[in-house]
Amino acid sequence: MSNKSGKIKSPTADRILKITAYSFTVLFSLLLLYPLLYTISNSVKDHVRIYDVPPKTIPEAARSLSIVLDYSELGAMDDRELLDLAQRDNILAMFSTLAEYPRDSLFEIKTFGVKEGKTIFYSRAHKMKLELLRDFGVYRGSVVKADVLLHGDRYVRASDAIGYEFDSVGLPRQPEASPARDEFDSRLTALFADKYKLEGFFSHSTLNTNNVLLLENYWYYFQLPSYVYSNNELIAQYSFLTFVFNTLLVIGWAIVTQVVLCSLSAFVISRLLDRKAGNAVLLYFLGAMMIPFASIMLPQLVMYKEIGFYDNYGALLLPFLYPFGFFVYLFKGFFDQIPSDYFEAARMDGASNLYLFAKICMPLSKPIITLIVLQTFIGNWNDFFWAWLVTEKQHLWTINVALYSLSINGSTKQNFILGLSVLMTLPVILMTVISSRQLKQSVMGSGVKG
Amino acid sequence: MNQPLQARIHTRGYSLQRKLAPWLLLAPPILLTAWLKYYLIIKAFYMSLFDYNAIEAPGPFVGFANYARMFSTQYYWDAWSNTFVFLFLTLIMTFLIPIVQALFLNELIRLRHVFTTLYIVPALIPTAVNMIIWKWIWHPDYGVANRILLFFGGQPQAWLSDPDFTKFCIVFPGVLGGGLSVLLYLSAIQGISREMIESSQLDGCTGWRRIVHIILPNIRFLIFIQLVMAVILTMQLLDAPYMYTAGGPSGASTTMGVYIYNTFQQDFNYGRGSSASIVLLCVIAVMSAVQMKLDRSQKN
Repeated sequence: MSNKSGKIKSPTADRILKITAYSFTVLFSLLLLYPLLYTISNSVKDHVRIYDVPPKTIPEAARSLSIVLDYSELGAMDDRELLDLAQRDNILAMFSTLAEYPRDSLFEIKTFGVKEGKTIFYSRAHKMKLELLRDFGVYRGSVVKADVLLHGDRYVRASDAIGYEFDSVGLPRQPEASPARDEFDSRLTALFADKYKLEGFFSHSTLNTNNVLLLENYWYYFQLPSYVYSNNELIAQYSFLTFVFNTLLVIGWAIVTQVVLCSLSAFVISRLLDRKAGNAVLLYFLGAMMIPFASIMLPQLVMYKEIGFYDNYGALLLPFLYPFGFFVYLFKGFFDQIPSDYFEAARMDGASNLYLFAKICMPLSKPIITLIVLQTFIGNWNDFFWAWLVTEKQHLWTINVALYSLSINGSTKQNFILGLSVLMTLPVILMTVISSRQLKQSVMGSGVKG
Repeated sequence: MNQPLQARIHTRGYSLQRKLAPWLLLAPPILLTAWLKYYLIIKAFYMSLFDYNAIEAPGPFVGFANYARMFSTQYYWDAWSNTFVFLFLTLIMTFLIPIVQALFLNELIRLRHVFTTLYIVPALIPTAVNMIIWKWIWHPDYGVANRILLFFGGQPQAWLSDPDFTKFCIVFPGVLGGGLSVLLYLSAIQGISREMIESSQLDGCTGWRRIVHIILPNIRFLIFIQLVMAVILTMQLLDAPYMYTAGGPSGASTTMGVYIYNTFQQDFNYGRGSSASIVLLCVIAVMSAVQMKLDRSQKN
């Protein structure tokens, strides 16, 4: 009787639980995704819009401004002079519009120099590129003013950094025809003619909406380190990849040392020692892993400094040169399960211990190695403090140290920092999705045994 | 067949080699562990007995004066109380959520894989990225946290800059980052034998009652292990408070870890830093031992 009533009751009770489970999971997933979407949305804003109060969820549309300057009235001159003029005008036009109209979401500025109907000069810059130049590049720490922008050979260097095309015979580019003169045109006329005194005659401008420009932001966010730490050759050349390389180097080294040391130790513990001695050694390794980092970081730092492992790769790599007790434990559990017939047969054939280890144990322990790879990766991907303590040279920084340093550096703009964060998050998401199955097995494998 | 063979290989030379070989193989790992880990504890204790001078090491011997002086400062005890507040917040805010998530994930039939993957992602985002994102969310003027508060009619808060809120703000991101624990719990739940669940179903133990009477008791051990790990990890909390607020505002997020860091990196007081390290080590060791003991007695 009770059996029957249970069967009748079960669907409703289970259904309520199921509905709760689904709604909770969906709600929580939305909560998880929100910070990420919020960050992506904020990172494509420019540094003015990001400080809008109240903050907008959807960023403003990106606009592209084309400026057409006419050199027809200046009369004949040789190419060098003409190029020089065009370069000066270009730099003035770009940086002045950027400085005077920060709230207009102008993400791209194109300058066309025309002479007698032919396009002789063309240059194009993304807003973030100009900001990098202004904050950290050629114009680091200077005010946007005509004589500051043109001082010395600055405008030449800036032009080279931005890139331009010049041909006095005519470039195969045509600026868009002028639409009806709008408000922007008159603003620019006043700005160029009176305030910045451009040599060329401001003919007209066109304004387009192009939201792909928002995605282009990320390319310049990625270059941020090479501008901020431009004194450092490696970072100037490889930008953020330097930090990615360091992180991967540390992780790779950690994986190699852990696999070798832990499997070797576990092999000896599992196969060559008796039970009592084996457990004692295992406990010794496990105990070392339990020592909290916070309580040995000071002696560790002092010791590493004494032996010269400071501010070099040695300091980053040496801490992994001992077997992690947990991995030894995992390996041991695994080796214990290999049938001893294998070993006896091989030993009868005169196989040495190393042979047994290399030819029998290692080939069988691929699943454990996968697990160690993933666990080491996760563990070190989030590691920050040790690298922060021992590195002064910027090209030794790992991702976490670099991002932290950039974020506490007062002159980097918030949208750049958020953009870099997004750039660092996307590969993680991609990897998680690709390797989620192995990841689950790995964590579960360690969980069941641990 | 076997007897004569074994007799032959048990000559004296071979057996000695057989005894020595394992220890020769184990020597490098054991020595490296001793050098890189255990020796550091001794070194910390040794340093704590001196008014340590890094240039002319070790400086004058002062016995336990470092400890005595450290115990008499309010800043030190504040660091302990902060650490325990962090521990409390972590346990109530982030410890239970992965269990609930795993219990509910276990009830899902469709999309379980998708949601599980989704749960893992925040756990794999680098610490610094998490910090950058959350600092912007908590920003008093431009962050979304105050927007949400205003929307529900609350007063805007200073969040990370407010000593009363800063610990909460540092712990909160952990609520979303428990993905790996979710996996552990989920695998433990799925490891419960189907027969037990099916027979309990026949007895009318369904829905919530199944969770309370069958599943939770069965994963009790894992929950306990996770609890021990959470306590040990939170006691040495260092990265998060340092990155978010560098121990501020006015020391409100200075945990024991940050305290140790500050004593040697800001005050260059290596002796006191070592004393604090040794005390922290002892406290963590005692706490883990007590928890293990409790667990053992509970099992018996």
